[in-house]
Amino acid sequence: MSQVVVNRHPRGTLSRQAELTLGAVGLAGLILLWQVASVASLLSERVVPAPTDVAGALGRLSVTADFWGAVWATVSITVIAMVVILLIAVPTAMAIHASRFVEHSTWFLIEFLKPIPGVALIPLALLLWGPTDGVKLFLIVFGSLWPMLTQLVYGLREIPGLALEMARVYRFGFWQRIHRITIPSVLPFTLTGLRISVTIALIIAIVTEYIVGMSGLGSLLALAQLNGVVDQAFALLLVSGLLGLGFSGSVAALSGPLLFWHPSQRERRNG
Amino acid sequence: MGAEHLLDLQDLGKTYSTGAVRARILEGVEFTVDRGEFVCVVGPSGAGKTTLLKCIAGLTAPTTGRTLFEGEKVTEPPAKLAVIFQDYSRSLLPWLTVAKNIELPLQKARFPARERPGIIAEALANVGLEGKGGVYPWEMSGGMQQRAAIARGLAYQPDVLLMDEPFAAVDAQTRIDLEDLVLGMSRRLGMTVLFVTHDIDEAVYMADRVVVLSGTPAAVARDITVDLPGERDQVQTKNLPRYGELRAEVFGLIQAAKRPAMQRTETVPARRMVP
Repeated sequence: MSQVVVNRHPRGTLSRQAELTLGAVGLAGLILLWQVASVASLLSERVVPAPTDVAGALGRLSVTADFWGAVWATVSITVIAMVVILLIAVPTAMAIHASRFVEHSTWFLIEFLKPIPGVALIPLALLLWGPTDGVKLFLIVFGSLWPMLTQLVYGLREIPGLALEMARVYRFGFWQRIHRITIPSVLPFTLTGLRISVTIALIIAIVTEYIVGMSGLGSLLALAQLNGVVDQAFALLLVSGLLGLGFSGSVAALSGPLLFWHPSQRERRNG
Repeated sequence: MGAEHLLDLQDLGKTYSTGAVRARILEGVEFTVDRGEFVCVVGPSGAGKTTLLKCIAGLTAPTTGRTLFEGEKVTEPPAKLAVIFQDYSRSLLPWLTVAKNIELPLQKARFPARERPGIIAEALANVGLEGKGGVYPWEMSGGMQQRAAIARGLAYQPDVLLMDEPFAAVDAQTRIDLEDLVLGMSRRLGMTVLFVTHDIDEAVYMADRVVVLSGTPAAVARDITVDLPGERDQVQTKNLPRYGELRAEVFGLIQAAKRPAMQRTETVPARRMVP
């Protein structure tokens, strides 16, 4: 198996390491350019502070309990929302897949609800139900449920018919079929859905906090802007970005060990 | 009943209907397979060979007639029947090792856990894959993957092995190797094999009997006993005059079957639907 590891890349693709190096180079270049522009006063520090100022603000933030409390509030509600999304999406996708009736009676509703931006519902929901954690959770779940649900339905549809025939010939039991065929087949789609949904969930969490002032990164950001502490606002934006990267990065990190058998990962392995 | 056939196909027919279009695939297919026989079913491409195999295996219900397996009517895949599919890349699960793939069908009742490693090792040895249990299917060549799928079928210890064009997706050289492997294996283990193929040479070379299917809908055109010496050899057997005669006979039947097969589906005059 591992004796023939050919370092062969199709034109235009790079090894993992080269990808990371190039990414770091791009980022460093941007920060450098930004710093030079700030020092040369091309950018007004009241609009865009220098990277060094942002770093300083971040350092000051990171020793306050408020900041960590806000990070925790945003992260925990996002994680809870993802659990709720899975609890809703898995049975719903199974029902849609299992029954023509459910599929046809729900597709219009789903296609109608899907394009409504979760963020657009924030003012309405707050007006109707007030600023509670339950409403926040509802908004996040409503806004980021669809990618997960759609991916799960696709995944169930893509289970190879031959694998199911094989399972019938060899008389697999119900759980054996679920455990050995359904779950592994759907897993790649689940991880894709999770990656898209978690990013949207984080956005809606922060925007809700921003608008309503509920504890979290969003309200800290609103406060910093209100008080004209621009470097702190930039530091908080930076933290939000890093959180998003962290969430989708942890989902991506799951793919390696979970999908080692998938063609996309096999190439990675050899790369 | 005692002297019953292992497989007994009685007036098997299958019609698919989608809307106004009815496709008659099989009609009145009748033949039998006895214990220890190696029977090949040949027919032109698209003659419904796979449908026939699915009806026999209990994966599809026939529209008319029935299949008896060990005297019992087949409604679901029987426990003592295994199928080797053409597309090994989909029938083997890529997330499991070869050994795990083989072990999966071995249910507790028939195969106690402590006996399984031995059964798996023996099945792998029978297809020449000794020591390959820990490898994932996609780490092996196509021919090796199909051999792993055959090992899974063997470990299941069926009374009959159904094979659906199992070598159609491998290269010519591998195909020859696999033909001899399956032939040797079935002789050694006294296995009953029902082998579906569109390849005339393969059918005549491997079979004790060749069942030739006619065109559409498919029925048995002729049931030919292959009176060639039991020990088959890719060079010697294929040089025998009798081999040439049998091959010509099957070839002629299939050519004749192809001609009226132009019109495959018949359209029933439909009532116009109001949109």
